[in-house]
Amino acid sequence: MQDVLIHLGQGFVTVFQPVNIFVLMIGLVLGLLVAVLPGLTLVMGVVLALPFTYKMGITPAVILLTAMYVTGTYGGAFTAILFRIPGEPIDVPLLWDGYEMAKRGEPAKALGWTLFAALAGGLVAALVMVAASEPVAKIALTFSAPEYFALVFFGLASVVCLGGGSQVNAFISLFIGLLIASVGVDGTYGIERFSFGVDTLRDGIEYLGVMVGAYGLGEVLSRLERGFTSPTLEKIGKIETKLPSASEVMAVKGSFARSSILGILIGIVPGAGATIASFLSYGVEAQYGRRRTEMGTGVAEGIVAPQSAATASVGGAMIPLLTMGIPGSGATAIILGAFMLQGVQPGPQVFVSQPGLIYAIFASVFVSLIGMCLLGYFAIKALVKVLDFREAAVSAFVVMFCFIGALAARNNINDLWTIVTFGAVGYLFEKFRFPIAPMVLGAILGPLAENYFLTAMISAQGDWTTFFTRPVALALMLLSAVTLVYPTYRSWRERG
Amino acid sequence: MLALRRAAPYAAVMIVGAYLYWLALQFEFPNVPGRLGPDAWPKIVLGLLLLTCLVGMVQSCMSGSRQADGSAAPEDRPMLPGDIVEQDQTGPARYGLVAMGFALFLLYPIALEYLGFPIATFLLMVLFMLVGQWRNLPAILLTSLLGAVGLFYIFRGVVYVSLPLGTGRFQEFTLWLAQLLQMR
Repeated sequence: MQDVLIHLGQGFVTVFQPVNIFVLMIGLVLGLLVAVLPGLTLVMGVVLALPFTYKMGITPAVILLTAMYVTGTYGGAFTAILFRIPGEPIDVPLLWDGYEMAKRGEPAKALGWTLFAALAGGLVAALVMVAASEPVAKIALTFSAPEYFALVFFGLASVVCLGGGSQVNAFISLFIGLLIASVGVDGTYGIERFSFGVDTLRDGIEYLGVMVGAYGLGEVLSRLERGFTSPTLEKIGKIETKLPSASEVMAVKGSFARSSILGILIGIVPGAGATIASFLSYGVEAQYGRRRTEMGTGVAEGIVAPQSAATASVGGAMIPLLTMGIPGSGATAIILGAFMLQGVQPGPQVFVSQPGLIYAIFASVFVSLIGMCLLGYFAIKALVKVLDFREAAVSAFVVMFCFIGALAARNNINDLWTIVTFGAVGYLFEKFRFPIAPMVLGAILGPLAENYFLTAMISAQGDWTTFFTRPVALALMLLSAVTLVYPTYRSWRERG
Repeated sequence: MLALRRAAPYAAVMIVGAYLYWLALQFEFPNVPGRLGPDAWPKIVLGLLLLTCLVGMVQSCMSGSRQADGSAAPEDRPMLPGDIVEQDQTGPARYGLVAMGFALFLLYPIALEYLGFPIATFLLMVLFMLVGQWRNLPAILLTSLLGAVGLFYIFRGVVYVSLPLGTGRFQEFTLWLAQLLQMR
């Protein structure tokens, strides 16, 4: 534990170096802006910031994206509560109680609860992240291919089942993602798979292109279909935040504890992110909370539950990313991309080889949380003015950042075709209600899944029971089976 | 008819999946006994994809015919692809705008090679904002000009991304602009 604290102290020193603290502050402002604007999602915002990191060192690059990720879970609360405009899907549950509380004449109080929930939930998760990461990394060091395959399999199963909507569509999206990952020259045999003689496809399809296209251009096309009709602010009145008193906080301690734990756990599960944490936490509160019958009428529990879970999911999602190289959410998938572009593969080895980098990231989460709240408290009135920008103009810049991001990754103009193609795919997916997240996660985890699967099969001489005869792999496979079967069982029971 | 419309996306994916499976069967590689080849993983994924599409088609057909009979309320079944048209609440879909927007995305990589980054970006931004229903031309031109020059300066001058210069006269213009902005 002493080592952890020493490393963390050094991490804070690194974060407070001029370059790092500067990019962190930029990340905080950008994260808040992205969260406030309804046309931009958190994941999209982190995608758009990626090209700026190409020429940075790895530490400031990851700090910038992490700061955006942290604040992205919080900024949209302002517009959701004050103007009934959820900047992010995460913020939708805040409309139910946050907006109601504001309508009742207590907007400052509602914002105060949001600030408290984001800060406290985020800090608890950050502490868990610091305490749990090294032990998890040590356990991960003992894993072999079957355990890693089972873990990836669990991540893929989770993204299919936790996303809501049609499970069949989610599976199709996932399999398409896995297929995308298998395009190109095979690493072992050197044969071409599904490249159709096209040079760009021979090199494989970079998952960043899939993400930038589907989340960035696809989302822009979906909004264009409605003629960019997002709401704008009539006028920005008095915006202030009133923090809850200690006795008020004590009254919601149960909701806070439940939601923070749920947020951390959902963050850890690969494939699930802040949006799922926010909705699920509100749902749990509405079913089991002390004031469950009053939910939706403007009670503090209805604000604390989704907000603390959403921000707590950040700390949770960083654990599988940093300890095993498996992203726990869309935003961490992009942070993984930033690592890989800098030639670093996150995983248990990084804790040994580059502890300074890992603990600087941990420290940046703490500093981001504090900075986020200070910005939210003092500067939000200026930031929400971005809602006055024309959506057509904002979207034009989003499109440009997508193109530059794709171009800058490999300096190859052909990569632009990849993002345009996946822009169309993203739009069609949205149109026909196929979730995008499973495809993206399939494209990211596909190479890992195939590699671990084939390695495990070679080691076990073709015996597929290897995934069920080792305790950790068996436990993960069983967990995956429950994850896959439970939603079907529940839907069958609900239908009677 | 409703059932067919709902099943169509699954059928389309299934046809593509079946073609790719057929391609996977044609992979040529040295066969090592007891060892899986490069075709194994794609075949597993494609097999599962085809199976899922089949489930989706059956589900769509059953749900569509139940609804046609009036035996099932729409909320009794999971969300299906064909539902989208009826369920959007934010006004009519404008597919013409999407087509124009997508056409601009397709043209941009081509324009980029010939016109260079600043001009191609300026044109894309102007046209995209017009397609996006903004009608304030002076504001569009100013935003696009500042956007194109600003992005060129930030990414070429500060982040050092190698942005396309264009060809012929356009290349000369890009280099002149770079010089004007005091970039290397």
